[in-house]
Amino acid sequence: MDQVRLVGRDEALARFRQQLGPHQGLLEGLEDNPLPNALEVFLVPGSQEGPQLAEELAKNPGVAQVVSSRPWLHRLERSAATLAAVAVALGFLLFMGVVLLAANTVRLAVYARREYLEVLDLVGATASYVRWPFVLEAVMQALMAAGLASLLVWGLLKVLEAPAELPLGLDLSQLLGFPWQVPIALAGLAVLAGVVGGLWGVGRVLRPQGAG
Amino acid sequence: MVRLTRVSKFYPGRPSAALLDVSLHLPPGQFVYLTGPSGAGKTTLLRLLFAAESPSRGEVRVGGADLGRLSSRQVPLLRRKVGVIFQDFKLIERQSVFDNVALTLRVAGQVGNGLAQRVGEVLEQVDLMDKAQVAAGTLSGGEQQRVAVARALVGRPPLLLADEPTGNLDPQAAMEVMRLVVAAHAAGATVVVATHDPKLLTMVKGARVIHLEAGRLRETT
Ligand SMILES: Nc1ncnc2c1ncn2[C@@H]1O[C@H](COP(=O)(O)OP(=O)(O)OP(=O)(O)O)[C@@H](O)[C@H]1O
Ligand SMILES: [Mg+2]
Repeated sequence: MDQVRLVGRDEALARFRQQLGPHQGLLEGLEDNPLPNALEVFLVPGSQEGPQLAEELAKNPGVAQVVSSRPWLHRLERSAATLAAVAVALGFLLFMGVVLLAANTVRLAVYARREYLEVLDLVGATASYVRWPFVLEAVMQALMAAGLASLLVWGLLKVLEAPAELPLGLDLSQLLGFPWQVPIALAGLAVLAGVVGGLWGVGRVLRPQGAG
Repeated sequence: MVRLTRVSKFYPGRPSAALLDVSLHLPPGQFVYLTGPSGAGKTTLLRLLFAAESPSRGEVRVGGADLGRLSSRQVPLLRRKVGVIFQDFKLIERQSVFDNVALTLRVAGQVGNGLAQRVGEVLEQVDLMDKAQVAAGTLSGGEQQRVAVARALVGRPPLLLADEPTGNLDPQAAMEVMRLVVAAHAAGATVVVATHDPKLLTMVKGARVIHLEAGRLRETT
């Protein structure tokens, strides 16, 4: 157990009122406060003793009802896991898309500059000398895409963030947070996509003929 | 410098050989004309010498290296020892004359004052110093070919290959280009000039003349 807090009926009503936000009118008709006094019990994170504690508390003659947020949290966790799986799948598809896009862009660039590349090959440029500008270009584009994507995700989460507290003291923004690792991970993936796509796009075009 | 041993070249989808059983030895410092009608295999032979093609049979050696066995990493190193000039110049038209010539040294990792000085030297030699900053594509054909010669020579290659170098030029410009090729030979390079222009043959006294016909080699001295 982490913390126990008494929530008196009046405080409970005030909180309910706040949660209702613009719908506070619903409470107008109430003559008196229907809410009971309550004890809020916070468990230490990761604790497994919740169900047992609930049982014991229920035996106490002064306790009318024990309400646990556990099933609710479970459902939330499960849907969060599903969402994460969907996000990973989407992310993978997007990654492959960026790779293909980079490859195609580079292929077009190679085609546009084929005369220049022919001359480079002729005067003895190594494959890496020829390739790195193309790969660099692909990486820059992928980085830009990552920046845009980060901004988009950040904006989306801002919009989704709940304006008020959720029941039982839950804060949705904690679940939908935007960790600082996200842009960095996206940038890393973008560089990878740029390099893979770039090299792929440059491909055979620039390998010296005749040596094989 | 160059040694071909029983070299044949077949192109995919072509029943007849572009080169058939060609053996040839060029000692260092030789000046060689490669003649023959259209389709005889002159370009093919030159392309073998800078590893733009590999032989279907036989062995091609340039400066001791067996080109049929070069890895793709080694090809650029060979190209830096072989200067090549084409009928159609193959310049980067939007870039300046200076940059076109400097490219040869830049890809070899050279930078700075040494590069600028060497490029200036060669531009002086081909009489294009005053056009150094002009875009190569705006020059006349004769000037463009001189830029190409400068690009081929700036790295002091021991072997210079020229494929119809005067094919697109008027007689005056052709003379100037050939004078430069001859100068490179005088400076020590082994030179191979492919041409079907008999007038060129008279330009170098005592040059060796090799005749190709339908991929077979015949020497006429
Ligand atoms: N890349 C290629 N693919 C298929 N066939 C080719 C290729 N290059 C050359 N050939 C064929 O090989 C033969 C020799 O061609 P090559 O270009 O070597 O002749 P050439 O002596 O240089 O002719 P020209 O005087 O017209 O330049 C020709 O029959 C030509 O059609
Ligand atoms: Mg030819």
